[in-house]
Amino acid sequence: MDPLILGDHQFDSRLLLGTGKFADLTTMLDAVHRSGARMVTVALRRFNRERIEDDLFEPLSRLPDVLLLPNTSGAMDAREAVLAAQIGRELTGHGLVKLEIHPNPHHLMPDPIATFEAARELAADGFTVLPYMPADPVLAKRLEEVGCAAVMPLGAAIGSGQGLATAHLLRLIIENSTVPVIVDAGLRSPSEAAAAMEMGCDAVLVNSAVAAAGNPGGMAAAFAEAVRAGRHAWQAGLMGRGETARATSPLTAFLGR
Amino acid sequence: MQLTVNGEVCCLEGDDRLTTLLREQGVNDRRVALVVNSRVLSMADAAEYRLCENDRIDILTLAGGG
Repeated sequence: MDPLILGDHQFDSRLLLGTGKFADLTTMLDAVHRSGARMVTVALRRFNRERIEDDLFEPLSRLPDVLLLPNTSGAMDAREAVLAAQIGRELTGHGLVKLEIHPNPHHLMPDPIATFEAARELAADGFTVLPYMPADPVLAKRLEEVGCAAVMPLGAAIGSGQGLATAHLLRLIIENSTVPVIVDAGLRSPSEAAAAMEMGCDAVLVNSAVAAAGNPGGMAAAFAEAVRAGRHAWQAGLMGRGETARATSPLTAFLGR
Repeated sequence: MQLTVNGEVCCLEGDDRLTTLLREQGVNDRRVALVVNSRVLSMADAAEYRLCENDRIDILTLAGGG
């Protein structure tokens, strides 16, 4: 057992799955199942009696051992994010929240100042705060200091599939963090998830990479294996890089030379 | 009385109970969160809540998201 620990919660999977952008509910539930994720993110939406099928509370809350992690997407500032977190707590009955404030729909970059302000208020109010953030080692430390249970730096822009564009900054965040680091956003392929885990990330969150795949269930399973492989590799310790070749076979005493 | 429900103006006649409004909105037994005038209202408090003229009520649930 190698649990991911977030506040008072433990999870036996290091892959978190988002539930957006799936073609239909059946496909999404199959992907959740095959991902082995123990935590799936959900968004808040106004109730609409004309679109009852969009209400995911009932189908998702029936999944055994899967915790619903509400996000604050749609919040334009810290005040709205705090209210969204309170709504999420009311709906799910727990205080884990993925804090995300990205007011610009063009690039969806998180607002670092509003994120910090909301994180400080929510952590003081007893929430287990998981902030989506730019890959900024200074901000990561500040968020840790105000009581966040993890930090969630982006690999690349949401839904972009650009992979670990921020790898050099993620390394700095991992080196300095005393809370779990969850790479969130931008990943496209399982190999990128494995690379993030080999680097020492504690978990990975993907959504578009699975939802937009040709076979979402198959891709969810592939990500699950990649995250496990990357974690095992990090635990085993990668060899160092060298500038020159180092032989793996003896180069002498062959055929009489 | 006039209310704003999920951003739209509507009228509720003859009853000032929030539970009546929820029934009219088709919520029934669904799990929802309620925000009344920008404050989250617990479901326990919602059972007792009496609506006032111009109250702003948001009824929220969960949807797919990353």
